[in-house]
This record gives sequence, structure tokens and C-alpha cells, in this order.
Amino acid sequence: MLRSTIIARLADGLPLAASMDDEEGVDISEYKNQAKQIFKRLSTDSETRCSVESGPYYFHYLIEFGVCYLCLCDRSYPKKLAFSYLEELQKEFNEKYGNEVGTVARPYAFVKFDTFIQKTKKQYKDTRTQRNLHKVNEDLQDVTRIMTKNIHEVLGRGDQLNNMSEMSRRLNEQSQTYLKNAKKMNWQAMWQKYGPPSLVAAIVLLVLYIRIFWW
Amino acid sequence: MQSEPPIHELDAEPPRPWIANTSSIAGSPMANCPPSYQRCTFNAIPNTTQLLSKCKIPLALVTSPFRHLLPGDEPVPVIQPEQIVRCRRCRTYINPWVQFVEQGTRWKCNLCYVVNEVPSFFDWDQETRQPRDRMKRVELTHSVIDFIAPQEYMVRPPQPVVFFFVIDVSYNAIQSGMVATAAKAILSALDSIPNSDSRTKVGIMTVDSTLHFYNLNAQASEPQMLVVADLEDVYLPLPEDLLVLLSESRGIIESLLGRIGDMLKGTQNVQNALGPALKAAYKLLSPIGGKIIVLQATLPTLHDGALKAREDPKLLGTPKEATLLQPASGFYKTLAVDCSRAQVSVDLFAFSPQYTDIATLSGLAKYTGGSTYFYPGFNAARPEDALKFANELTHFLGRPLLLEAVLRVRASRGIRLTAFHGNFFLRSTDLLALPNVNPDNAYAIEMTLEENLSTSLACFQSAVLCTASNGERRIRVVTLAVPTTGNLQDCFLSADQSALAVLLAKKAVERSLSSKIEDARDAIVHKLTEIMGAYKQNFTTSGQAVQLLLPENLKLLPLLILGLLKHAALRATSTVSSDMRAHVLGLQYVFPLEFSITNIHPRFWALHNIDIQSDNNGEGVFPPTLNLTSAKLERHGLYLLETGMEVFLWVGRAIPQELCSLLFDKPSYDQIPSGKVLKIVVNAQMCLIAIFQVILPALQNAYSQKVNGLINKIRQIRLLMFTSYPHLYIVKEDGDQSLRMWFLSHLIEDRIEQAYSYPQWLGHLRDQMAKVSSG
Repeated sequence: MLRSTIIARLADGLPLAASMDDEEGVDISEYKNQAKQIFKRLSTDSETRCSVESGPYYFHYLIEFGVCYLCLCDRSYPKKLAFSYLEELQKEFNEKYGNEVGTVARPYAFVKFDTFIQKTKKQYKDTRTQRNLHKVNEDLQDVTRIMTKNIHEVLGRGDQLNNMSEMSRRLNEQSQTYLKNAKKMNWQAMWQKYGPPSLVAAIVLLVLYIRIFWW
Repeated sequence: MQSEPPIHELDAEPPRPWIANTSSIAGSPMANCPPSYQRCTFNAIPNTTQLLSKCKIPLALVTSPFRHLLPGDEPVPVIQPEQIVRCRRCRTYINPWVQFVEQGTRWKCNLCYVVNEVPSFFDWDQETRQPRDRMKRVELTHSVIDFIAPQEYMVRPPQPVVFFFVIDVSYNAIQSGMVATAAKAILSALDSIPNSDSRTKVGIMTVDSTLHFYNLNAQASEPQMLVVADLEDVYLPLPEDLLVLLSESRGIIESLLGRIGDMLKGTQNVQNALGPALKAAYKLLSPIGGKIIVLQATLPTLHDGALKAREDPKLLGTPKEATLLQPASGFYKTLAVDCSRAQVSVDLFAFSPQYTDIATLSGLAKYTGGSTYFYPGFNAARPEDALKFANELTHFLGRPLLLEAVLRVRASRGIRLTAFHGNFFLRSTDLLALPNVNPDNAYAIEMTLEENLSTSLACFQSAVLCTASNGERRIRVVTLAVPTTGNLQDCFLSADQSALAVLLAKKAVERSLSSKIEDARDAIVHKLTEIMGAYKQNFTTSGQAVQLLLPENLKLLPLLILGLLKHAALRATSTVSSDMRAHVLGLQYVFPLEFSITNIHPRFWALHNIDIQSDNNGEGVFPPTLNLTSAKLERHGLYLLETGMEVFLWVGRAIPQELCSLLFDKPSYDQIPSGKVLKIVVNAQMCLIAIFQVILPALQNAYSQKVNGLINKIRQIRLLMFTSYPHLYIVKEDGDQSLRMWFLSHLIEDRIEQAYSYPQWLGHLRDQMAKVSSG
């Protein structure tokens, strides 16, 4: 079952269109928030097609011409079908609004695309229809090459990287301090070991020296 | 006080707050809110709690942030700044009355006095890499602005416009012609329904003893009716196609509307299942939100929400009348609250020759921010009834729409909001939920001083977050700045009598519905005497005790209060049916300020001596208004009286022959017909488009054109102001008794049915004052 669809601009995560969802019985607001965060993490070097698993659902997304098309579906929904759906949306959206994407500033500027989303959604709803079965069997896209990730990885990765650099910096600092302290202690230890005797030796030498030269 | 109150002051410029626009931060002439958007009962607020309680005038705000723009009004500027600047503590939007501190690097909020950072884009334009003058920014020069809201202000994508019609098709509805007229009106209004993004959805359901849904799939060749008879557990017969895109299914919808009148013509079904119908409609609309428009001509009789004909004429005019004004069933309020949560609003059009229990049904509109329209005794065979309904419905469907809105009012520190009046659902102490913003409605907010005000300026800001019909998420911010004062005399002199009268009207409505109408009347009179007593005690010497003294700006307050006491909503009488009473009370609760004043104090002109030449460009210049007393009625005169909801044309018995023929095309007075009138409809080429029972013809002579022009102008303005297309009634001096009594009941300075005349009223007040000063 296709639960929700969001189309956003890649550069800044600005939502361009979304489906008005029938949320009766299912609360997916948490997943919608995750979708927003996914948009934030994406950039031009991200993979063009990816699936992210999160709880009982999958996020499938497709990036093309600076726009990201994302849909939230049940785990049981076939991947091929989901990507075929996203490709249809992408073709139509690009044709209609492709050139205007860079110029809009307000969120949901193309919310009227919702009608097309609803229509397409209806067609893809039932996974057992002739049309959809046919699509699944066709070799549209080698789906096995599409990476499957986990949502925590995707959202957490950024944090972890930050943590890593923070930790390594701290480690660096601490090791510098350690070096300094170690050197200091070394000196102190040496001083303690050889200090008094060498002092005594120096005094004796001095006395001898004075005695020899004075007499 | 004079025996003839100076009523021309009612039409004069409304009083403004006692602060110049130049003291705002950018000194712009539009810095302070125009009175048509927001008005405070004081134009110089007392700055201590003792002062406020001493002067007895209630502190309140009457606001209509989304009022209709009448021709000649400035449009509201719409901006999309890089970032919407708000105070970090109280979340007030930056406005023309903040202050810049620390060499302009920070700004001080004028409501909570916290200092905030000024963002860099105020002084530097990123795009053009040029410095910019921050004082030119729209947020700092205009008090009424629209922001385009960024994504943080949306919980879901903007909803489309959705209209769902629930039409009563029981015997009464078909016989009176309501269904046919409604179908025709909706058909002709389909083009004007807001549909700029082609997402608008429309659905229709008809109701009698069963529910009829219609499959409006665009692919089908004709609409298909599905009957659901299970009223116990309502379900939707189809998962989709009950609510369809207007642009796609236009043909099918038109075909359905064209046939709906004939389809059920011979019905003998007198039952109506409105409750289950509303539950089904709610089920259908709750995922998206939208408007449910109920056209009802019968008392709901089946299942949930069934109502009984409980009107008892013996109770009218007695204290027990209040029971008839209480809702008979809690079903409608509960449903309304659920609807409000799902962003669904309900509007009610009621037509009935018999009792329709408006008191209960209007709860639907009240808590969802909708409106109630009442057409008692509607009969489509009378073209004037049909025309009024058609005009109002067309305007209602075509006006710009604002959806899924919330309204919040903020005031300076020290001022606390205590009560809210109007049609909305109150969520969390000060958030008004409006699934649909009604530009006809105004809201009154009562306030009190919690602590003494330390600054010289008190500000009130109303902010409405809403979705426009084209899918844009907008925030309208209206800011009003009023200076504070420690001088009691200033407080009295700055009071706004119109705002005060309107506030008292709304409080009276609330009191009538929660206890009794007598209590409401007593409360108003008590408040007036309190105010007058306070003024007297503080500002008059004992020698002036016999006179009735009020400051200049409150001179018309006794007249307005008298008008309110004689208004159909509050009058002590047994001639107003409880449906009418409930309806008028509901209307007074939401009337915008100008409309409310006209309704309380109707406008009255003499037409027999108007100067036709003074109006060469056909603008419709009105003659000076007259005091509302029958002393002004001359036997040879012709008069026009307008209440906002009705227009009366009074013909004196000795009207000159000439005027008779000029205006009515009749040779003498006796032959002039009286009653409800249809205006003749002409197009730009002065060709008759419709000719019905003509009573007031539009003749070619200048006099007739002038009079018709005035009446048309009234209708045009009232339609814009409140979606009201007033009926025109011709009243002859010796004609129909009930029509005459109705006309005369609007002359509030006269004595009517044991109520005071204006001089008697003043005498009564004088007696009350005498009691006060003896202390």
C-alpha cells in the first residue's frame, strides 16, 4: 500500500507537492517527520535511487533533475512497483513544472499536482491487477542494485560523523597534553634521580678548584 | 441633553486612538490599524486597575481581521520576507510600534518588552548586495499585512477547497420550490466557486427519510444515485466518486443539478434524517476538511438529532421563553466540535413555513465558524424570495475562501483576555479555531487589566494563520496601538460609543442564551447607568444634578442602547417567533461593527424632497439621514428606511400625484400596491432580462432612476458586507396593519408596545442618576 508521497526540491528540501493522505486508522506523522529529515540529508552526490527501511514501512526515493520524489509504502509492497510509480510521477512532473522548480519560494507551490498523484496512486494501489503484475515481471530496473539502508543509518550518519571528528579532536588535544605532562615528569624524574648527587659533586669540585688555585 | 440626538455623528468618521502615526517606528501614515479592521472601546486606555474600575467602561476589542474589501478600500499588502521576525518570548510579529534599541541592532517588543535581535537582512539585501533602508519595510510601515507562511507553519499540505451540499428533499422542501431554486442557484454559481488550482472538490447528498448519495464519476454518462437506508450505523456506499473534482466532473454535476428538482417531484415523504446525513458528510470530509452546506426545510425527525416542534406561542414574551432558545439536543454541538477538529465547517440555510428549531441547528454554524441564513416562509413561487436566496447563495459560494485557520489575539503585558464572542471553537484558552474564515463575521474580545500598565502605549495584535483558496498558506497580522493615560477624564473622552454598543450587544446575546432575555436587558441598562453614574460622580457638581450629562463622544450611547433594547433580538414582546428570535440573536453575535450599528439604529431618509441634480455621475449619493421618529413622517412624504436586512419604502397618504406616477407608474396613491417587492432586472443596455410581478418599476425618468439607484447601492453594499440581499417592502400609511407595525417598530425614538420613547428613556435615566448622586 502506498501511504504517502512527497516531492521536494533537492537543493534546500523545500516541499513542492504532496499527496493529501487518507490517514484514517494509521498515524504516520512520525514517518512524515522522518521524510523531512531525509530530504535535509540529501545532496547532489546522493544515490539517485534508494530505499530506506523504517519500522513497518519503506521509504523509496528517486532523484532526477534536482527534484527528489519520495514515497512511503508498506514493507510488502513490491519495490519495482514503487519505483515504477515514482518514475511515472517524475516524468509528468518534469514535463509540467520542470523549468519552474528553481524559481519558486513558497512551500507546496505545485500542490495542484496532487490530482495527478491521486490518479496514479489509484492505479498502483492494488498490487494484483493485471497491469501491475505485468510491471513487476518486466525488467524495468534492476532493483537489486538499489541500495537498501536503514533509517537510523541515514539519519544517524551525519551525527556519527560529527561525533567522530569531535572525538578525534579531543583525543588529539588530550594526547598533546599527555605529551607535555610526560615530558615534564621525565625531567622531574631525572632531576630527582641525578639532582642531589650531581649537586654534591659540583660543590666538591668547586671546593677542590678553589683550594688548588688559592694555595 | 437635547431631545433630538445628533444622529449624523453615527455616519461620521469613527474616533481614532489618541496617538499620531508619526510616533510609530517608521512614521508611516498606515501605521495604525484602520477602524474597520479592529477597534477598541477606549482610544486612551486607563493605565491602572483602579482607574479602569472607576470609569466602569468595559475594556474590549472588536475585530474583523478578514473583512470584505468594499470598493475604495486599500488592498492588504502581501509579503514574503526572508524570515518572519517574531519576538522570542511572546511570539508577537514585528509591527510598526516596536522600538529599536542599542543603535538599531536590536528591537524591543511592544507587547512583552523583551529585547530581540534584528536580523541582518533588515539592512542588507543579499540578492543585489546593496544596503537597504529598514524603515521602508512593509512590516514596519503597515499595520495590516499578509505574510506568506513558510513550511514551519504547516502541519499538512494546504487543503483544496471542498464544498459538500446536503439538500433536504422532503415534502416541504420540494413543495416550496426550495430544491429547484437551490439547484438552479448552485448551477449558475459553479463558475464562481474558487477553483484557481483546479483542485476544488464538490459533492451532493440529498436527504429525506433515507440518505441519497450520488456517484459523480466523470467517466459515467449520467449520475448514479445510491440510497442508504441504514440510519443507525451510517456508512459511505462508495470509497470515492462521492466527492469529485469540479473541473473534471463538471458535466455530470450540471446534469445532476438540472434533474434534481424533477427527480423527486412527487415525493410524499415528510421525514428528514439530518443527523445521520451530517454524520455521513463528516465521515466523507474529515480526511481533507472543507465546507458542508446544509439546505434544510423541515424539522429533522429521524434518529440522531431528531427534534420536536417545541414552540409554544404562550411562552413568548414571558421569562420561560429562554427555554425555547436553549438547544434541544446536544448532538449538533458535539458534531460541530468534531467537525471543527477535522477542519470542516458547516453553514445552514433554513427555509420553513413552520418551526425549524433554529436555536438548536444554529449550533452547527456557531462552533465551526459558519453562518446561518434564514428564509422564513420561503416560497419560490414568489420571485422576490427566489431572487433573494439566489443572490445570497451565489455571493456566498463565490466569495474568496480561507480555510483551516486559527486566530490568536495578543495584548500588551498587563492586559489579560477574559472572554471571546463570535462563531468559533475555543481551543486552549486563547486560540480560536476557524475551519473556515468568514469575512462577514466579527469577533469581540473582552479584556481586563491584571496589573498597572507601565508604558505609554498598549498594543493589540490579531494574527490569523490560514490557507487561501489557491493553496497559499498565509498569516494576516493586524496591529492596533492605543496610548495609555492616568487621567480619568481622558478615559471617558476617548471612549468609542459604537464599539461599546456593539460589545454590549454581543454580551447581551450571550446572556440571553445562558440565562434569560430580561436579564440581558437589565444587564445592559445597568451597565449604561453605571457608566453615566461614574461620569456624573467624578465630573459634575451637585448643582448640575438635574441634567443628564455625558461627554460629547458618548452622547449617542443612550440612543444606541435604546435601539438595542427595542431590537427584535431583545425586545420584550410576544410577537417574535422563537425561530426568528434565535436567528436574530445569532446574527447580532457575529455582525461586523458597521452592520451592527445600522441594524440597531436603522438609516432613515426622506425621498420626496431629494435633489436629483446633485448626483449627476450616478454614484448614489444619499440624502441626510433623519431621526428615527414618526414625527418626521409627513403625510405627503416618501421615506426610505434601511436596517441592513430589510429596506422599507414608506408612502404617505397625501403623496403628490406627480411622484406617484414618476416612481410607481400609477395614477394615484390608492392604486399603489404594498408588500414585498421585486426589483426589475435589467442589463447594461437597459433591456429587460426578467419581468415579474413589477411593483417598483425602473422607469426612465430621473427620479425613478435615482431612487432605484439608491436601493441598488444599498443592496450592493449589504451583500458585500454581510451576504445580505435585503427585501424591499412598500408600506402605505393606511395599508396592511402588520407591515405598518413592523415599519414603525424600527422608529426607535418612539414609544412602542410599552417600551420607552426617547424622551421618556432620558427621563428614566435621569431618575436613575438622581439615585446615584445622592451619595
